[in-house]
Amino acid sequence: MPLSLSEESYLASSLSLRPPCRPDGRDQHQFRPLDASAGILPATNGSARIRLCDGGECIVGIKAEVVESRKEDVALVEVQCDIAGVQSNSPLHTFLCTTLETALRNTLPASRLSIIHRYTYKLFIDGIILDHVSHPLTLFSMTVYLALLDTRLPKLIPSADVASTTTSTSSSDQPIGLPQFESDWQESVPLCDKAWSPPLVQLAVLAGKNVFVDPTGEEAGVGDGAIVVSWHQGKVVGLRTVNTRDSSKQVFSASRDVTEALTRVVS
Amino acid sequence: MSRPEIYSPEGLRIDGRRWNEVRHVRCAINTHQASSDGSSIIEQGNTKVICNVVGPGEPTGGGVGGSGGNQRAKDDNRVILTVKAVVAPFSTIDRRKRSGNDNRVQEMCLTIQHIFEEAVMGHLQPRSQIEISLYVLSQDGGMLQACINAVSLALVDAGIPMYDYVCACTAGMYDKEVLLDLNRLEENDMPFLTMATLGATRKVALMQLETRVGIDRLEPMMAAAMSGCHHLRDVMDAEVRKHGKSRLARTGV
Amino acid sequence: MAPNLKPSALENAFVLKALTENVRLDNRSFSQMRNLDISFSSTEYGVVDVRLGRTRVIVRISAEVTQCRSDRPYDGLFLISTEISPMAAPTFEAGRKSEEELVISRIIEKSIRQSQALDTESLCILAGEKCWLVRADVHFLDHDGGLLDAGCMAVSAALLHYRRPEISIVGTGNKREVVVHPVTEKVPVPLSVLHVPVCVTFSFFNMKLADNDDEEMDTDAPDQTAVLVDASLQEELLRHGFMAVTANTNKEICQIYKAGQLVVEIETLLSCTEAAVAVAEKVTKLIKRRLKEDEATRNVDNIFEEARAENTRLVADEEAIREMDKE
Repeated sequence: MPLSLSEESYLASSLSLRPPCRPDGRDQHQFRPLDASAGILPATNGSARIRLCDGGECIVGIKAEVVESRKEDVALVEVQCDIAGVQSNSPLHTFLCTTLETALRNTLPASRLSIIHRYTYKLFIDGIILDHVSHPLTLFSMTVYLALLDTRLPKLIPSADVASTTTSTSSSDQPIGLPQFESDWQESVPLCDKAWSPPLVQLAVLAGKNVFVDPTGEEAGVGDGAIVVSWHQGKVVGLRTVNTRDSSKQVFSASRDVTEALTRVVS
Repeated sequence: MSRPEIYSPEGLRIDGRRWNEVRHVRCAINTHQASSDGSSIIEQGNTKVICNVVGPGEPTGGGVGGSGGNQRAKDDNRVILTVKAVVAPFSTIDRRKRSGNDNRVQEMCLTIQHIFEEAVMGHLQPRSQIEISLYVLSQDGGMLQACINAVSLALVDAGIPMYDYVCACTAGMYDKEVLLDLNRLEENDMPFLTMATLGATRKVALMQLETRVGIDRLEPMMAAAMSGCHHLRDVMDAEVRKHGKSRLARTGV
Repeated sequence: MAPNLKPSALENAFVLKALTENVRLDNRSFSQMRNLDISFSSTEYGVVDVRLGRTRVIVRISAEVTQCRSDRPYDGLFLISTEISPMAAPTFEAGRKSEEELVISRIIEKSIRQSQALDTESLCILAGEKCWLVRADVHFLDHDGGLLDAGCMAVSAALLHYRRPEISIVGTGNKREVVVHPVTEKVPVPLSVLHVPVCVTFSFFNMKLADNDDEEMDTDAPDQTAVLVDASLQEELLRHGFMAVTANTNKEICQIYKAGQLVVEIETLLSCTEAAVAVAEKVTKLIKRRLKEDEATRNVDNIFEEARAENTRLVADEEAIREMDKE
């Protein structure tokens, strides 16, 4: 239900107080409770589901396919999503998918997906957002993060053919040296380990000089602006402003606070 | 690797079932309290479907049937059902993106809409709308049957008056053997039909056959599918009663 | 602007009441089809005009040589396009797919394409490279009920009637090319049709609604369903449910489509499938008879005697290719 004008102004002023006062009594940097589970779909390489307490729910499945890596500029990650109640190919879809795609492409080293020099994995990340009340970006990103953590790739069987293919100059349509994989799923290797963990993209709302993480729909509606922060292994790797109503200067001055806050929250 | 035997001479199927055994059914209702009025998750073997029901409420227009279908419903003072289905691209073994206006998915939505228009006591909620959303997360044969069962459970959870559960099941014919509740491998290998009955009666709400089969094979398949439907009704009913009991216990009545 | 075709409440009551007395408004019995007429174009192959009562459908088959699909190198392509234009009835809007159109196109697709009525493997010319693309364009000209049945019959008949141009393969190795000979040059060849699917729609009426307009359903009461074959437009608009069964003369069921609406006892459905086989036999007989008559008019001076040799010539071609491959 949309807020009335007076409710909106009350919410806006209480959010810009110092210290601020959120309607649900949360701390500025506090997330809402959520229910997360991973590995829910056995037919995928990795899957996750996150449900927020406001009913927002997202399910992500990741499939890895073997592609030839010889073509230059092959995009190794593709993110697509389906949002309930929103026509497909809306600006919201594009925003969610490209934001995550860029964050992943910038941080995921190609070596992590390559199998043998000719072949590489391509990750297809598909999300379904079953319901969302607040902006789905944080929800979607968290689910993708969890699903990537859950992703396992089959183990390669080192074979003698591999060595021979590297030297032979077979024609391109001959599938010589197709990588062989261990059929035992127990042997599979996780995509993420200590050396690399997936990036996380968060949406934060600004109200006055305050910054709020995990905003509810109403908070985002009355905020002065919002910023999108991509965070990866303790560093901020991307920053973007969206929906800034006014005072972009203020946004930038506050952005440092946000990144600090997020770093604290996420780690 | 040798091709697995669909039906061994000992009477066992690929997954170790007998001919008349359905796959393991796991279902739950009221799984999405926050986002819908009625919800369910059903797993039949490795096929997994989530269903959300919102309503009955004010009609918003649109939906699968388009304005034409809704107009008719309004004239008749009957309930308006809209069905939307999302088949996840990762639900099949090989990733496959289906667009929203894929003919097969649209046909399935329409079918489900027609089934439940008859099963819901529509005259009790004239000119109101019930929105049904289906999410197919994993497919291993019997997508339509799982969707129908999921909608049945979710409508029960939403407290919408119905004549009975609509329960669906598939049955196939391998050589001269009837097999009940096929998985994907079996579906690809033999003619099969999907049937939905209204509760444990002999009344058929849906019957779909998409592969060529001799007419003499039809009757045993139909009989098997029907017994499968009746079995599924018991499973679903047990789950609803279990849920009802736990709810009663919570309220302390 | 689309006028609403929905019959009035009075018409509804009248038709139902008549059905309780075993009377249809056009004086047919419940299992009787309307007058079916099939005629072929005298100039072109694969153009069929089917009239089922006042319903009229024209199907035109065409074929061209195209690239094979990479995932199915040994198969040709077969497309059925079933767009219902406002010409059939003003309720259909051009460019916007209605519910009815979706159902009709899916059922025709399942009846003919998915049941492999046309042997798509025979349409392959060079595996992985060239194949035939056969198109069936269904044009619904007049709508008086039974678009689905008429459409399905028309496609089946047209496939039987169609002759594709003869081809030959020239060149060797990677330089092989397909030459399509015009019909005037070489005798065209028929398609390899494996069986003739015929779709029959059964309309169900809940007779309990005839007496009282009360919509309360009593699940225990005995079944009172009237089953009508080949409903007219009026009956189609008033019916409470339907089932489309596609059958052929080999006593096979190709497709069954009963999606929701009125629930019907399983025995009724089973007897419908048997009735469908009987209708299919009758219709197939008519199609075959008309085909024979058509051939007689074309083959005035027994000019097609040469066509009998088409198979031997094909074999010879294949042998030639094999020899080329060896080289």
